[in-house]
Amino acid sequence: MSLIFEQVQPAAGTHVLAIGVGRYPHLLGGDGRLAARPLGLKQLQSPPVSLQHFLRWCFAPADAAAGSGFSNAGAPLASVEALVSSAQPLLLDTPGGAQQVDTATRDNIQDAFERWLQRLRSHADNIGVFYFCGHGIQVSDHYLLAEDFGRHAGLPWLNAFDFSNTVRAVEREIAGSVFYFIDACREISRDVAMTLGADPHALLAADLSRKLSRQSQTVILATGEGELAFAPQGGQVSRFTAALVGALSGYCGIREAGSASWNVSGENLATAVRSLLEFEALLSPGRPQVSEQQVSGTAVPLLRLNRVPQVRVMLDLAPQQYRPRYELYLESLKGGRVAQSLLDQVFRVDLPRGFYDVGALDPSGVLPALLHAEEELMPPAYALTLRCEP
Amino acid sequence: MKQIAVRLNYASMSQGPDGVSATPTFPVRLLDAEGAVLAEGAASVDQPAVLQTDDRQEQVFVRLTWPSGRTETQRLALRSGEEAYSVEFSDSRIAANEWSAWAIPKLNPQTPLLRHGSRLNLDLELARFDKVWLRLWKFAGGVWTLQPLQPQATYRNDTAWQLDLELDAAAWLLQLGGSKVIWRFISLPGGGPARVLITPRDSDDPRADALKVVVTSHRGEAETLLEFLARDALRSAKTLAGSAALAQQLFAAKLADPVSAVAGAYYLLRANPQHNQPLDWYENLYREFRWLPDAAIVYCTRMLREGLRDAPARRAVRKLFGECLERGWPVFGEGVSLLQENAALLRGSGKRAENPDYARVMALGAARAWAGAAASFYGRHPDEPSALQWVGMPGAPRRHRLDPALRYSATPPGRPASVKEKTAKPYPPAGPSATNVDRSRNAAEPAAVAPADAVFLLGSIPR
Repeated sequence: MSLIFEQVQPAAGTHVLAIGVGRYPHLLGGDGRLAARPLGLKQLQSPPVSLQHFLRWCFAPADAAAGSGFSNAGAPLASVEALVSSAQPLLLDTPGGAQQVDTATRDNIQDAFERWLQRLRSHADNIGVFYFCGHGIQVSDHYLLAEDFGRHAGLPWLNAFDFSNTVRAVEREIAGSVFYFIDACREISRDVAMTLGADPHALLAADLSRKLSRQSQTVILATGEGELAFAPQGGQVSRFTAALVGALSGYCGIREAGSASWNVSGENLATAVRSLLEFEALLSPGRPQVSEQQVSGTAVPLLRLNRVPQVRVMLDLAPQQYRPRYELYLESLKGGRVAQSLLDQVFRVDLPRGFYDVGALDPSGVLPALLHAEEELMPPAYALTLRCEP
Repeated sequence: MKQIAVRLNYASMSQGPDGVSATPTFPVRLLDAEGAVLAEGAASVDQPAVLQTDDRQEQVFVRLTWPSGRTETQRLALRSGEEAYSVEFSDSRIAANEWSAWAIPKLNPQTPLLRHGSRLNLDLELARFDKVWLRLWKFAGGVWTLQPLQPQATYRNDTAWQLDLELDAAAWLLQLGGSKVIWRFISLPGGGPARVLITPRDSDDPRADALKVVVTSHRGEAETLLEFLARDALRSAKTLAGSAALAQQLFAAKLADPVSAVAGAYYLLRANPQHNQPLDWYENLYREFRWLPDAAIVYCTRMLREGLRDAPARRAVRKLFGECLERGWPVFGEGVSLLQENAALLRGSGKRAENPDYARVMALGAARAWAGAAASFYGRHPDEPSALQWVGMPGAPRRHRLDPALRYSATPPGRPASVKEKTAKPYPPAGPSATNVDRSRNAAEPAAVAPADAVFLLGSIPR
């Protein structure tokens, strides 16, 4: 069983297929017979946790004050299929209560994919969401590994699938739009990957007799080619999924001329994910992670939000010794002001997007006033260090 | 309604080589205080964007966006009873070196060139790259041959080098490398002047190369459109294209400028799948400009996307795909993506070994590098893009890194390793000199390689 939510929509709906693969019995550290060539790939702790994080966002209340969930009046959430492979059995939180779902074997992924695709075909304006977290290999195209990868010594790639060609096939099958979020390690460098002889099948063969028919397509990939997708140690949500869910939770959106809602389309979502990864790198410096995207077609919103998108603000003052002597503030050009007074810390606050005067004042009037006028706070994040030069 | 004319005073960016003028065009948006879009349009040096908003707005913000993602915003107070306003964006802050100003909107938003342009004292220690070499390759008669690299003009300051070239109608590649600079190729647009700017990496991206290369052929609108596409900035591209009007116009003027026409075609194929121009537009472009690889690629893509109804149609597209490769590598990175798409669709799953053309495109896809809108890839020879990375002088290449994971790289028994075998071929013997390249070489003969002493060194560009 992998269908954890279904609500038949009278018109267009959004259909989600989410896959998290942390347990790989035939890779290093697994409990099955080791693959003939495990490629140095190990067990992953993050994918099941990351999958849960993503699904919680799917089911969270829309337009909540903080951490809003899926919201699209034009294509409400219609179905969610999930597959998870983890070291320990896992119950997923769903609107119907905790549920155990099928494991993410190649066969189960194939079956779930075919059901998901069938639902996508059912309406011209349907939206598909495909989320995968697990191992991946980038050659020229991108291959993703199912739980049972490496099970058959004679056919080592049987239980992987060609993601790139799956995308190319789907765009000839549907009239609507698809968003692919791929949180996969691509840690084998391309030069090595080219020598592997990898040639897994796609989940769907492209039918060349069909015309390209989709409206829009967005692929957001966790890392650049040959790079590791990072996850904190100890089975936590991966950086990419955290950034993705963060952006989707009200920290992204554009209101076009004539539109009543703030829309999250593939392009601004990809930009927001990349910005959040950069923003998080400011908070915990380390090897930077850079996401990639491929956006095609007309802009179809995944989300239509009624609230103005929020911006994570990090306002600092240098040199640090002057911090306790200043009031740091942001004053909206629409009205309203927030401030942090005389504290030796970075000022962190969430604010609605828009234009602000950003500055610092010394209440005693000794130190100079600092001002960055008419700064645009664009979602998802804004970081500025004011510099005091008395 | 209130009407706001947004003008671009970008004189320095409009400077091309003698007799060549480029017209940079950038998207502008009118925003309210929340950042909601009120109107948008495209502004160029020649043509202001005229944006309208209703009388309720008391203040608006005009935002200009560069391909790099950098934005510049101006606030405008709107008064009752006054209907016409004007806003001007100037390049005065980036015009310290007029010869390099054109490249700044294509570089990282924090590029040192921008700071240099603002006349801050900045030295990127370019001398450490003095031994970096450049070579020029031309595709003619079905082979890549080395050509003497003889710039019409060169420039250098503390942050960048620049070369002006004049290229005839053919596919061209610039190759660069060095003892610490990975060998890579960058496509240059043929059929006119081309300008290349090289600057040290300006990004924290771990994948960034030691030297960044940007290219222009002074096709302002077309190149800006492709720069936005290269960054998946479709909204800006759409604003620039005016809902495909510009792209259609570029496409329609293909006889005058085929390179701009393929830019228009790339936009239409990427952003407006439902509003593609008729097939015969693509076919004409393909037939009229046989030297231009991208013209065949966009036609092949358009046919594939239209759907292949019968076996003759499939055979025709397979033949066309082969022709794409017979013209050399594409000028633009968008063409590499479409080549990959076409190869993957025609190959189908599980049949990689059946056609060497597909393997070549797979190798190109795996070897891709970043040069903005221009196609770029790693490798030692233009015919053999390779994910293997090489450094050193042309006559003495060596592997850039030996990945520990290589211990897993043995080819499985019974599986062909076509790409590996190709990259393992002996490097072609060195020829007498770059200037002695035999222009009458038979197409079947292997290309000669210039000796190390004939390469063009960055250090030879005077300050």
